[in-house]
Amino acid sequence: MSPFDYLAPASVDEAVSALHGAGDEARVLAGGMTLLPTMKLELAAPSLLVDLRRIAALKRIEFEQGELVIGAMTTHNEIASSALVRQHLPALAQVAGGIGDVQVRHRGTIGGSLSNNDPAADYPAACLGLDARIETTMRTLPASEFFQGLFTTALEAAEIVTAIRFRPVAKAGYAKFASQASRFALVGVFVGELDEGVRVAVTGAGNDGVMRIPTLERALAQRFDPSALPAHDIPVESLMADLHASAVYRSHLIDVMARRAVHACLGRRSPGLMRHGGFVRFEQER
Amino acid sequence: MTQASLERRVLSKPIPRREDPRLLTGGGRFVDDVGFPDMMHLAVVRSPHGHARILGIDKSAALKVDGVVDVIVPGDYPELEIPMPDILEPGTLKNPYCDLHLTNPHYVLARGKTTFQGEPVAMVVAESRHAANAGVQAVSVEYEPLPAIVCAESAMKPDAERVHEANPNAICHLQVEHGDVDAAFAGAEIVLEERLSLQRVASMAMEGRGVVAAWDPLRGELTVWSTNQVPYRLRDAIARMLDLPYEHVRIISGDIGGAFGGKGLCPEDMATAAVARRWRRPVKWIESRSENFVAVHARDQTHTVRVAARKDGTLLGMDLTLVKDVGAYNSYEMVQTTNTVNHVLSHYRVPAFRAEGWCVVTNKTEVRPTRGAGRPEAAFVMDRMLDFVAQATGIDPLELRLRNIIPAEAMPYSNGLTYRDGVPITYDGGDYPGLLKRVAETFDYAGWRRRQAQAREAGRLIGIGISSSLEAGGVGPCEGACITIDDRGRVSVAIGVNSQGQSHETTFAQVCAEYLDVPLERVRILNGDTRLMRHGFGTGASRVGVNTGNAVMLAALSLKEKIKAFAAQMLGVTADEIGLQEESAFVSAAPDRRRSFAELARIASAHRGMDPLGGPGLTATEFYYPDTVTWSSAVQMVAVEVDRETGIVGILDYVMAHDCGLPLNAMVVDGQCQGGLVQGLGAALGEAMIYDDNGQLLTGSFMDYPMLRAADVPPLKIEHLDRPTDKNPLGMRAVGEGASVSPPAALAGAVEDALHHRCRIRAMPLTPQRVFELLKEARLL
Repeated sequence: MSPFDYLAPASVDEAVSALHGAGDEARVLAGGMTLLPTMKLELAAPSLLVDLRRIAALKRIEFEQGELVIGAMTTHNEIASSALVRQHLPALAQVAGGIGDVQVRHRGTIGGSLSNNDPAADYPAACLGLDARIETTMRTLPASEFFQGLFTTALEAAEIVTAIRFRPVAKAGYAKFASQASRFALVGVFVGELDEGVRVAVTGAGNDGVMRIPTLERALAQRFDPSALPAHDIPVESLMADLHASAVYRSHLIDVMARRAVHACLGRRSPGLMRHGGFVRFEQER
Repeated sequence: MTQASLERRVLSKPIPRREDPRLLTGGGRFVDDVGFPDMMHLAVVRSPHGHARILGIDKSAALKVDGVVDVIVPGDYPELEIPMPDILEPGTLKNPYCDLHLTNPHYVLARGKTTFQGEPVAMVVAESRHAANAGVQAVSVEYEPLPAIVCAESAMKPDAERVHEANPNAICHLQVEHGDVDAAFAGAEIVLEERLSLQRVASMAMEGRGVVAAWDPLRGELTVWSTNQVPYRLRDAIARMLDLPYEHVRIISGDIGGAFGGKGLCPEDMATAAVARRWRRPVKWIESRSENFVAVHARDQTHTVRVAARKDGTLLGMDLTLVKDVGAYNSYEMVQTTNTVNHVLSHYRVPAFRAEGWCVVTNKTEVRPTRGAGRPEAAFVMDRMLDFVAQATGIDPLELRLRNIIPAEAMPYSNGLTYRDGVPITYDGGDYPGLLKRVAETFDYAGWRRRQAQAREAGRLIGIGISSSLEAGGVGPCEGACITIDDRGRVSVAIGVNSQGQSHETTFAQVCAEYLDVPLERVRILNGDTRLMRHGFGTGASRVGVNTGNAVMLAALSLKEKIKAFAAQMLGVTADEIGLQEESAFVSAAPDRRRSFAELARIASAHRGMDPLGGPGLTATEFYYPDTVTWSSAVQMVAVEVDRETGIVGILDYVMAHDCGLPLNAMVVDGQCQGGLVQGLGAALGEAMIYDDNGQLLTGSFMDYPMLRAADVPPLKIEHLDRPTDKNPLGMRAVGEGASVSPPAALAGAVEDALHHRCRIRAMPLTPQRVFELLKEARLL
């Protein structure tokens, strides 16, 4: 790791001015679950880290004016275990509880994850599937405008995500097929039944990052049931392919995970196994 | 557990590991914990290419980096201009099958061209680790990329491009034939031919490799802290390189976080030692995980196998050709291929057998042994072929195995082959049908067949897999132990092997306490320092338990004799009138006349009476030389469910029965079995080192190389048969590798069974994507 300066300001304003003063070489530290390993591998060598961890205003979970508001520096574990989140958006608590491992969930934050926009991260699917609004130091953006491709967001220089606003929805559910190695999503499908219609958001699969699947959304709008979903409907040209999953396999997994996410929306235990190699109790009926 | 072992006081008992308090509370002392105020750091410039000519190295920019002390390129250090020695294996190699063994010199730094991605090209010495890494970035190497040779079978062709110009790529060859193979095939009702391969993996110890070297210029001595699992070989190699007496190089190897075969001699060991002497300052090199991924690989063997059988399932013969892709260098002759040949017949009678094998160099990381070392390949070949014969004959796979199994009455059994120590193979006891039946019973084989049929009606995919294995272990030449009792009755046991997690401090203390008849708390084990014993042959090949365990026993018995002789002098009787009990020697006819061990030790330290007894003190050293290896046996059965939507494989039940003879510590044996299962399952379900056509490693981090997590490991039910062997005084066999052998074979059989045998599994691993492809092939999607 190369030497760097480190600041931990107590307010958002101080953080923004520190970033303004430092130029391109400064990076925001918001948990660091991606940034720090990247620095250890010397793939990134920022001159200044502006750590947001001391800014109390960024660490909150509140229900105000009919919206669930989550501060950017709230950890995955805090979201997964929050009574408010479990009450108003249990699917979001489930997403948070399935990210990485215990250590990552206690360090990583929702704002950090969204700003990084890893194409295989879970939160982008949840935010797009729930039509969340991303509040920054400069503006408020709908999720559909915030995410702009692989590791790319609408954030400008020295702009910091401050909170994420979610409206409760009738039904929501998430199903993730994790990479056997990284445990990131090979395919993660988030389904939300919103007032304006059904949303199906997919992470891990699209070659341009998180994406919605309109054909699946229309099918579920007509009849909200796993059996309503068309099979083999995802064009493979739009999907990533790597060692762990060809585009064809990813397309297939989108079908399967979409069905399982709808099962989750309906409060049903979805059929099938989720862990490769793990112990499974034999049951006559599955 | 046997009756004999139940009567033991401490030996075999599941005593908690004495190493655990320090290791579990962060008190372990690993190589990276060693440091000196004036210590320098070494970092390595590695080839980014699989195969490239090195046109030039410009170190000028690196030398200007703040903190950089030296940049080493070929030619800079004369001591690094000699090739590194082959590692081979403990003991004298007398491979009876190998008739070709070409060696390509392996230099610390690549000379003229680089032959695999990750090969050291230059080294940087600096005041800090960061400065060393910055120096590495600043070294400019000009390469001319060459076409990479990545397929072993194409590389064998006579006109193939060469990895090393001096030799063809096929550098080793072996052959062996037993019985009339051609007649067996001519008379067979069933002949099956298959191509089966086990993939390239890596040992993946939790701790990477590392070395610290400190030179004492006034004494002319070098002290080296190292993760090496064969420390005396490292000592000898460094001493020869630096032209020092062997005693002037001391290797300290304290706590080590796993090895599994991946921690033998490496270029960085040699370079660090040379730099320490040149600069007269301590130097440290600690491997990064990224470096670890390209340092040492394992397995990567392809088999063409033919089997001849009768319609009733009786095996008549096997004809096996194997090709091992050893990567750019080959330090282990044909150890692993020979292991495959010698273990492939497993628990079964095969009257006629022929094998031919090749080791082939390619532009990949060197392959060295990892846990199992050729045996998982053997089990994969035999159990896959047995499953195919079962399919061809319609005989249940368990029944087919029982028809061909060696009966218990046939023990000791000779399979007609010769071990790599040159001794004809004899299975030293064991009850293979008993093991198989025991597993079938615990596993409830009939019940699983019933449940499988029921689930199948509901469209679910349940499968059962069976694999048997042998583990020849305890190869010599010998190990030693020196037991000393001090004047307060404390007992120390010095041994010549180090531990990478094998529990030596616990198990050998149990052996000593048992046979010296002293409380366990009195005994402590001294290890991990080449100054302790005059020689040791390394921790590997499942050899230490048998060799060192028996040496400790012999030394304890020998020390008892010495105590009796000296006590006899003190008590004015003859030695055979002396009894030993409760840490005292006494006159059998007058038990009140006694001397405690502590008292005797105090007197013996300066008493002339010790002159005929080998000198001062109550101490005894013995070496144990095994005649040849012992043969442990095991059977594993697994039931799986395949998720037909995703290709995910869930494990419903996993049972293993084994016979390792006398267990030194029942809990440690369980730990070895569970650890082996995890390693074997990892290889069965996901682990694979994958290269592209340019010799680039595509799985260079844990983001792409899947290791099992704790939650991915099913509970393992273990049945112990523990029948002592008569091949060594303790009656023990090896246990370090056996459990890792069968999982690929068992899982392949189970998944194929789950898929109604509508596809054939000929290669591993079974990743979800691979099972998805198999589901398509089986038309079950």
